Amino acid sequence: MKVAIRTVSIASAVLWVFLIAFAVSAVFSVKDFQLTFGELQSSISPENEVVFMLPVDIVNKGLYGISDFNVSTEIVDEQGFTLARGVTLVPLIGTGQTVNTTHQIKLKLNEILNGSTRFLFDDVDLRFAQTFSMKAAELIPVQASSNMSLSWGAPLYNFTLGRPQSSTEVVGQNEGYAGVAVPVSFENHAFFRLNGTLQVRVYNNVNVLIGTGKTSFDVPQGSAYHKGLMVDMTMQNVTSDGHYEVFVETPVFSVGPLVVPYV
Amino acid sequence: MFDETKKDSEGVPRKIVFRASKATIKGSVFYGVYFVLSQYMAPVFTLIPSFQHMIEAFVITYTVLLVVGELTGGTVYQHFLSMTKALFAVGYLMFLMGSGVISLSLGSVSVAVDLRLILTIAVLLSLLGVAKAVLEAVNYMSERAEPTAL
Repeated sequence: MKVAIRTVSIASAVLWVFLIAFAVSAVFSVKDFQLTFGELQSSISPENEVVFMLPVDIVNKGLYGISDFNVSTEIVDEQGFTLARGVTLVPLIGTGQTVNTTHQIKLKLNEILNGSTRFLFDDVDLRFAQTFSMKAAELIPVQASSNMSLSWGAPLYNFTLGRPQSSTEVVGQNEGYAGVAVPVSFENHAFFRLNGTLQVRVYNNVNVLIGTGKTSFDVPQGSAYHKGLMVDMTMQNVTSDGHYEVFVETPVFSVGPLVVPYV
Repeated sequence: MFDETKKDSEGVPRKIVFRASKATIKGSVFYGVYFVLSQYMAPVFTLIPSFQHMIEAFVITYTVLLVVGELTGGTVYQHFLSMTKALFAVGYLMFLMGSGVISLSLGSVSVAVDLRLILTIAVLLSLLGVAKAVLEAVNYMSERAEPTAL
């Protein structure tokens, strides 16, 4: 009996010492783990996706390796709808190892802008939810999460199409056709330069197409656009009210038809 | 006859002093180990003061049981206290396991550390301590049992 008791005592003591030493050294080595984030950069991919890139530098000077290091990011709108998600996984960061990686979040702008015109015309507050998880000492799960507010700038903020301003100039040989100026204005609040074409179709109040016009534009970030778009219009079908159909095509997104009434 | 009684009466204080010294040394060593380890854990304790309080409460209670157990050495109470100590460790760890995930907020960042695996191993080791205490008590009682002539 005494031998059994002694054996159990020794085994128990050894295991306790091992467990406590491991737990304390694992916690102690976490302080030698450095995680640095670079500046968030953005670019447009060949697939017309906006790519946010976050450089991540991981330095592990601790006593144990770090496994399953995972950075995941979600961009969520005000209604909780996930617009984009990015995941970066580093399977193992050994002792004394430095890992430099880039966390990417791809935003399918075309889908988002076609899905909701809010993002086209209104500045929206988005939630940028970031979660980092890892296994300290390859055993103890640690997770950190943060929420940031991200302001989405609308590329066509305050987009306005004025009433067609009739001109006396007769276009072409057929009478009844005239060049009409449609005042167009908006501000580019987006984080990218906006260039492309703007096509407008003018309909009268009985849905008859009475004119079309197209123009190109190039609006730097944070700048306003105020110009008159020349539309060739059939004057005989003009009514006092109606609507426009607007098509916007840029390298980043294509939207349309957007229906804008005029009176 | 007189000499034996004198020897016994001299032996009792010596035994008490010996037990008290042993208890003091064991208690001091246990607390000393905690003190040294707590220096390494200082960054964590700074971040999570409640974790420090939990560990301190455990260490103090465990040390008291350890010291009292040593003072009652050689009696059946030693084994009761030994088992109480082991059961206390199991109970406390089970209580901690309920919230085995330690969460803290650092400004806008919230951090969660999942210690359930470590706590599970600790509970299993404490159960080993309970088993050891039971074996010791059984051994003590069997040694004390007087042989009966058949």
